[in-house]
Amino acid sequence: MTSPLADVPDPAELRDAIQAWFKSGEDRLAPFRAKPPGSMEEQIEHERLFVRHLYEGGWTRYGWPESSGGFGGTALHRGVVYEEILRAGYVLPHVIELLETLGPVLTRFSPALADEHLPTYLAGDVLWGQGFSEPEAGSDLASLRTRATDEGDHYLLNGQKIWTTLGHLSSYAMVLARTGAPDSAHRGLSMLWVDLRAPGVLVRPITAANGLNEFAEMFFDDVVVPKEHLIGDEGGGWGVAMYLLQYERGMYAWMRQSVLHAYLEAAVADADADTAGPAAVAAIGNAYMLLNGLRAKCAETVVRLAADESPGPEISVDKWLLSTAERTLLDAIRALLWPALEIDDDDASAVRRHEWMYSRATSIFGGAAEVQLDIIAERMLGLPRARAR
Amino acid sequence: VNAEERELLRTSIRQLLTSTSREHLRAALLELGVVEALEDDPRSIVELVFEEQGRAIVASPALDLVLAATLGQPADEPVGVVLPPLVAGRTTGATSAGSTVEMDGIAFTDAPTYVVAVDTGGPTPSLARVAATAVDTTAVQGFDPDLGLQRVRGSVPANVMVDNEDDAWAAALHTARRALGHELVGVAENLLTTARAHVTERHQFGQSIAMFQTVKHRLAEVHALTIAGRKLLELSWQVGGDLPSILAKAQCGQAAVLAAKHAQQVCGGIGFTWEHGLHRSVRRAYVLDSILGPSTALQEEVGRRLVDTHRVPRLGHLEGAAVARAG
Repeated sequence: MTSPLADVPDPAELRDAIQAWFKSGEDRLAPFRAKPPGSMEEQIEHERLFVRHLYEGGWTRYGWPESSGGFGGTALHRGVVYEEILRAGYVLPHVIELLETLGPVLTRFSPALADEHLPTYLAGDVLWGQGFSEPEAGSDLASLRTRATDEGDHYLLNGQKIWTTLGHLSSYAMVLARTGAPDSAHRGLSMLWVDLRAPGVLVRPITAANGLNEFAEMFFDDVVVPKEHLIGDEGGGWGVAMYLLQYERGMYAWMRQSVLHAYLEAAVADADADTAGPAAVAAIGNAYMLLNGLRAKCAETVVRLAADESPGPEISVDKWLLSTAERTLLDAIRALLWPALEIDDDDASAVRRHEWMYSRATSIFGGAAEVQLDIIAERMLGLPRARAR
Repeated sequence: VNAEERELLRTSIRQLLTSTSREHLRAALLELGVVEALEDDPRSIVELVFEEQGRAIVASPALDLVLAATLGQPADEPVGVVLPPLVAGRTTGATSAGSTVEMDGIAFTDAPTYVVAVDTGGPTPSLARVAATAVDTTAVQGFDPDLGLQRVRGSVPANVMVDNEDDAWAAALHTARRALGHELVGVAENLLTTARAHVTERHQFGQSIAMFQTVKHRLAEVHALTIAGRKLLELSWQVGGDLPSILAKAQCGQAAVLAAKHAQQVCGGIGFTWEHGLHRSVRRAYVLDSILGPSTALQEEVGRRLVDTHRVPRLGHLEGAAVARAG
């Protein structure tokens, strides 16, 4: 299949083309304008067809290398496409949000794996998970204990991971494991590409506070991982993880702010302007202000990522602004529509309850808000480090 | 202006602002070429002058110079531009219903002539040029006496009206919000610098108090919100309409007021003394937040607009950020 546009388009051209495509496919795409109220598994199944349509239209192939099923271009193209999906009134699929944490790192550090696996992900056939946190290694990620021992042509993986988003629906996971000595901290880590259908892997979903199976725990018992599935260098896993976090914090923030605009749009459409009280109205204005500060900040981050620049510790500002804006916005929506979230049982209220509860996690996953503030204080403001490292 | 020229200009502006007495500042800013620079690159000159002014906690007639130029007033004589009084939602310093213009506003300078926007009930305000002798001007002491604000009040005949071509007042308001936003960023950074120096030097419980997370996190939050304010200012220079400049002013005001609050807490007893001087920055933060504000009122105004129109504009886009970065 060839690109719907000649060469790699400029963002404005891409924007116009994708909006024209949405317009011409309105009827076919109508089911994807709202989240279905069912289980997470039903949501993923529902959005799979939308992911397929977007892939066949060619839109989600911009910004990925041609050898990996893409049409070329940069993170800027991907950022434009994500926003246009939302601007046109559609739900941004979970699996696209997830791809932005794992896709860039795979294409950067293991092009061969990206060439083999990215096309099936883009087409909506498979999902991947991220295996970083462990029960005893959350904010203190570098203390993780999952071990990969060198067995010549392969590693043997043993340990446990937790909080892997949609891990129970994933075929592969990117797992950060210790290949160095137990006390090697961040220096002795390596990133591995793990087939979750391999013998010795057990994955169990975890039901989140919103009632949905948002994530999973993964157990590895003598799992064979071929040496070709090493992402980056042995012992270079921390650097790979930090590269990944730039996207998990920066590009994810860009997608989320766009999603949050859509939540806010839907909320003000459902609100009764005549009865909205000043406190709720002020809360909405406060959230919109924070949301736009975030938007302006992470737009610049996406531009920098697209130019292959590293934002460095400043990426923690994006992440902290995101968690602050997301929690503030969902609280403001709750206040504006009060008491719908508390007592209404229509589909829209059920979905909003999920979204509100999910917003409580945004200051925890991907690096807790406290960790981001430590990074800003120590690495941007030059305040002294307090923790033992 | 490239990065190097910018830093040179920043240094000259800083020196000028910190070494010139108030009565000579207007002439010094004119000599520096502020009015000409507004024609070529308004964003750079406004950002640099007001950020440095905020950082140095200096009061100057810079806003009058910039706004008078935006309103097409010749620079050869001093003109004070009357801003709305501190009443939420007001965007003009005068109203008129017939034969007289009722002025009630504030200005940054005591000038022989004032220009004021007059709300006549129409879609766009009119502009009036009024001699200072025709109205009552009172120096405001208030919370920040060093700022030198003037309260301008009076009733003048409606024959002072001048043309408000292409709604120049709307452009002046955007510029004023941006300028105050940049100044608030400077004030927030001034407060952050003071707080940072204090918490690093001050030792308690056998360690620098900067090592306590609660201290660190307060300052980190201020820094993050100040960056958000800066980014919204950039956006407001790129994107038209009043929403971006309102949001930018609101965010910068919020960041500066939070900076004041946290700086006063972490600087402890010494920061509460007259001699320390922290209070001067605190006063500046609150009064500048209030002018064309305060942040809380602007947020409510924006919230009301979203709820009433059922619309949530997506401001700017990725290419805008790319262009801004390249430029």
